[in-house]
Amino acid sequence: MISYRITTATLALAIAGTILWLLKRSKLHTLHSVWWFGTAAFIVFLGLFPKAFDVLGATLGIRYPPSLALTIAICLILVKVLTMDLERASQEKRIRLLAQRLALLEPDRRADAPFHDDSAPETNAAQPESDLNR
Amino acid sequence: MTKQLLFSTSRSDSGLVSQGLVVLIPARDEEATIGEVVRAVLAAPGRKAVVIDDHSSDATRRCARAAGAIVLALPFHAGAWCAIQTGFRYALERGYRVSVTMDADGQHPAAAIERLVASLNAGNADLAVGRDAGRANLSRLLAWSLFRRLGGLDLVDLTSGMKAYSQRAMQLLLADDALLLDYQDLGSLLFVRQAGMRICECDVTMSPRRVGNSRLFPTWRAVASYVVQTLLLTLTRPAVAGKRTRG
Repeated sequence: MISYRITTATLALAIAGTILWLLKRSKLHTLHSVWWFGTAAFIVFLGLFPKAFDVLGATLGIRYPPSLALTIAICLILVKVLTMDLERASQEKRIRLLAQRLALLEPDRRADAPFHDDSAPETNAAQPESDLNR
Repeated sequence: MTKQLLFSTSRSDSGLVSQGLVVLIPARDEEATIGEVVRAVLAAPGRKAVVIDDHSSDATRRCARAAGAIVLALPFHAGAWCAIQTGFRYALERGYRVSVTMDADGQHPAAAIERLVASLNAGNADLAVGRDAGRANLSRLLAWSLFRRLGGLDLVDLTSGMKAYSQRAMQLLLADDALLLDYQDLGSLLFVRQAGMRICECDVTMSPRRVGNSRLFPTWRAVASYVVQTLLLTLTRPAVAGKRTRG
């Protein structure tokens, strides 16, 4: 039977390697890469020195140190999911705003005519979008 | 303070001046009724009909144009509220001081538009709601009662889509945090009430939907989603400091 440290170290290095590869290939946003770089470093540290949690757990008065690792991991995941939802809401706002502004730029609006034939070429110039920052 | 919004002239930020009032009609797959609704709106002078097409898959846009409406087309299905906000942007850009929203399914009487705007003026309000207590069935009454209690709104018809908005209300409802609303009814009422603006009500007689099923609630899942979202909205945005008048 191999040492558990080899298993944890292998898993940690595989995960950290994947994260670093994604960062290197610019698959992750620069801002997000800070989080993931920290996560990779944390995983490698834990994988190489799993006993560190025993010391930390004893210091914090936790009888079963692995539960500390799981608690921290779940908290970090919660923070990440929450920030992702915040980011999604922000993006949804931008998308809706974009859709509204795009609708105002439609040929119908520019023509502002009671009837606009789809087949007719558009000749009217766009009017200034003055309240786009509203 | 007396406001003269109806047929008044104002100047937008862009310097454009518009007279009369603009009627905003959000529409999605309403080819059967949109033409008739637009023609009814344009039957009286001083009105401009603007149909905001929520990415219909039928001939809604063509029918609305043929009937004489200005058509603003959303590039994807974004919901009735997003459509109405697009209409607000158009109205403000054009310098309209008042806008009226109407459903595209023919339920709202175009003849009541001026009366609704007059009640906005008479009540010195920023939002006038066209109410029809007669359309209340058991489920509507239960929902209205619950939302009224939770949201702190003392209005009769909480889900009416026929409303008149002042310029101030339109500007408020284009704020950043109003972008994520999904429905046009309670959200706008709560936002306006929270800002300390007045809301008044005006009796109108609505007709039952003649063609097809409700676009807002095609399935029970949509109903459940609406109820949950509205409950959350009433809990997170209670309309505490309200002023209300009856028109």
